[in-house]
Amino acid sequence: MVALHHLTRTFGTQVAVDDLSFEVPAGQIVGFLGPNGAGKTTTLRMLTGLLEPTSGTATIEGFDLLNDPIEIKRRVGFVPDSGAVFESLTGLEYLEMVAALYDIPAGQAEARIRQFLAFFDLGFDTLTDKQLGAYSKGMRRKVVITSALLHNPPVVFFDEPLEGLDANAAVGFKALIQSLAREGKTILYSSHILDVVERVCDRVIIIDKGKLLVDGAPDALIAAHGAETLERLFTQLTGNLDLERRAEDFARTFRP
Amino acid sequence: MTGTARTASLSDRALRRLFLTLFVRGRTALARGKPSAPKSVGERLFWVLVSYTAFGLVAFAGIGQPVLVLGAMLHGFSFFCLAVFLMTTAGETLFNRDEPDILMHRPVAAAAVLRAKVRVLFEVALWIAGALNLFGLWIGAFAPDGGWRFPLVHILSTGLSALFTVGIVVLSYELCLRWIGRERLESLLTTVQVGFSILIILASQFGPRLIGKTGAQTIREVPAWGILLPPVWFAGFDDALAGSGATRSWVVAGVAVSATLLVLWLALGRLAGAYAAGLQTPIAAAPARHSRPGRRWLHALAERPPLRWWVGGAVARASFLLTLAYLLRDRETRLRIYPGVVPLIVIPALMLMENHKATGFGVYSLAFAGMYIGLIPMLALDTLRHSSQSPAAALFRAAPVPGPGPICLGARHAVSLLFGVPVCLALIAATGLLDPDPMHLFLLLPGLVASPILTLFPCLNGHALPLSRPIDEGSQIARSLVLIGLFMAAAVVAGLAAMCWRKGVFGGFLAVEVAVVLLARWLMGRAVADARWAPAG
Repeated sequence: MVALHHLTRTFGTQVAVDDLSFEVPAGQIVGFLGPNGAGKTTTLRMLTGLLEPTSGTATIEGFDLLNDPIEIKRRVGFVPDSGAVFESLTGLEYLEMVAALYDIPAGQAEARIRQFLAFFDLGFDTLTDKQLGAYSKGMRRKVVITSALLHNPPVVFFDEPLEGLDANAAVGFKALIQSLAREGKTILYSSHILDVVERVCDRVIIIDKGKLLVDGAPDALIAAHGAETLERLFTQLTGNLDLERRAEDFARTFRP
Repeated sequence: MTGTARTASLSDRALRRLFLTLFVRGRTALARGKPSAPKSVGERLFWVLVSYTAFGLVAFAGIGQPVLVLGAMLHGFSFFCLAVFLMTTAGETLFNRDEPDILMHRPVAAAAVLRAKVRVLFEVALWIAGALNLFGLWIGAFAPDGGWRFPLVHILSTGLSALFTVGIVVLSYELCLRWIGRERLESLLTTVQVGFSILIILASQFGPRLIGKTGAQTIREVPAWGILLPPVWFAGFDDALAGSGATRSWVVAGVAVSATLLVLWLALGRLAGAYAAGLQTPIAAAPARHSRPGRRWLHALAERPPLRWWVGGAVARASFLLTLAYLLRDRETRLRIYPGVVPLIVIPALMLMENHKATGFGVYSLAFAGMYIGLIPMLALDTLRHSSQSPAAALFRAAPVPGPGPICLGARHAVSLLFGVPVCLALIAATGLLDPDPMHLFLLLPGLVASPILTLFPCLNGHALPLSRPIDEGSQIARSLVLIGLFMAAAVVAGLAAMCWRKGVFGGFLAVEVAVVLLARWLMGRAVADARWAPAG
């Protein structure tokens, strides 16, 4: 369970997140959407303790963001959009380091890592034979996803998790998060791939300029706004209505 | 052990192991694209320590000196090497941009991260200090007032000095964080590091050398201002316990111990909060600053004569602007180049200061200082090859350019403009102002004439392709050996120039040098222009 209470973050005079409040109950997958610069990543950074809110707070699994940051971090898994890893470690070294930070005994960690490898159809030697900097983007993303779920957190935040994954891995991942939600995990899923969000998420929250625009089930929101798809709804709400016409105009400039 | 304590100890161990591995292997992948397993931490450390042990041969200059003088020399040298090493690496160790995304959303307190980093910095500093002082330990045992106690006492004082150096570097960053904040520190980090490098050089090199000039052999003869220098405190520690045992040495030894404890208390206790707050300010999350429109003046300048004629065609000009942009704006590039260049400038500066007499600067000192007009850009060009953004350099190969030549030449012009020209102007100004003999200005000519060759050298075979290789600490020793070879060649040319000056045949020397340089310039220029892309891999 995640609950935001008037969460606000400013950078100088710029308000990145403006008085954001909503709740995500256990077992629900919530698509967290917004155009570039809407405040999604800043919100996720605050919820994961990477950034201090300017005002407001949040509770995660009953712990307060400001008072119990370490307890919250124990209960949260986070896949950041940067996909950053320590590139000079091997995949195994990296995951062992992460396991130690969550106090997972070595044997148990190895068993969990092997489960993830099996899920991603990978052999154990792929984690030991080279450093993460030499991995493909997709492989690195699989390591990041594994590192976020290794400690079996009740709450998981995904920020563009599909980036770099091939089609098979992406299909497997979408099925995985739906299964995780059925197991009772709370999932906040931020992405720009709206058709995936429409298919995977139980509920959608769209923000722009740090403010909440809409919150509801995808089908209900689409129907309420008279849009055909979530993509249409998104462009309607975030003010980009004439994208097709602009694309046509621009394409004309390529004519010899 | 309670559960919380056990978790803390487990994560402390994991963090220590992590930061040690990252420190030794480097933050970015060493073997990008290579399928081989990484080299062990121990193997890498071994070779680094072998090179530092070789630097420690400088201790032989202290044979026959009393413990205090030898100690001041050894501690001055260690403090210089350690502080420069720590200063150039600590910025990245303490404030890695990716670290919050990887680490800080996990159940780890910022204080534990700081403790682990300081511990790793101390361990590495201790190994380096040990390697640097390996020969000095035994030389001290045979000092006039030394004896069997010196090695033991010097091991202690070296450990203390390593702790002090780590503490002072960490404390410096914390004070900057407290006073100017993380976001401004990010933009001022290079300036801060260059400033610290200058202070370190003053404390570790100029100070002890100036004390040496006073002829002080005992602690009583050390001038009062000399007592302010950290290397003298730790030399006093050696002198108190293994040398003269003078009362003043005991006082100075007390200062060494107290200063170390104070610095550690401030760095790990009092100001640790500033570090924690700094870690919680991810720079990427802050709104981007608008680039200053003034920066476009470089583009405008590059489009107009004489820079346009000098820089060359469109490809060289694009590379020139790219290189300048990285040298002026890119945090990582600036952090690697500027703090690395400053300590090198100290060598000719020291030589000039030491040999400055009523008749002017020493002849050899000036001729050697002149060589820096080419040596500094050459070093910058070599450093500029490496970047964590090296995959982006695939763009060069994708462009319709037959080989790396024009790109290397653009980068060469950029470093010459940014480093060669200021070094040349500074040397002319220093000689013009401080040397009463205006004829001495001609001694800068051999360096000026040799500079095109020195800066072309890294361009051969496209080696100087900017930002094209991953940061590979492991190959730095081999690169250092090549650079040391070039520095020695420059020293030989300067020696020949000085000899010819004294014998009154300097004009002939210059004529020969110009002829050799013109021929070499033509041959090297052709080689660079004809170079084709090596097969990728």
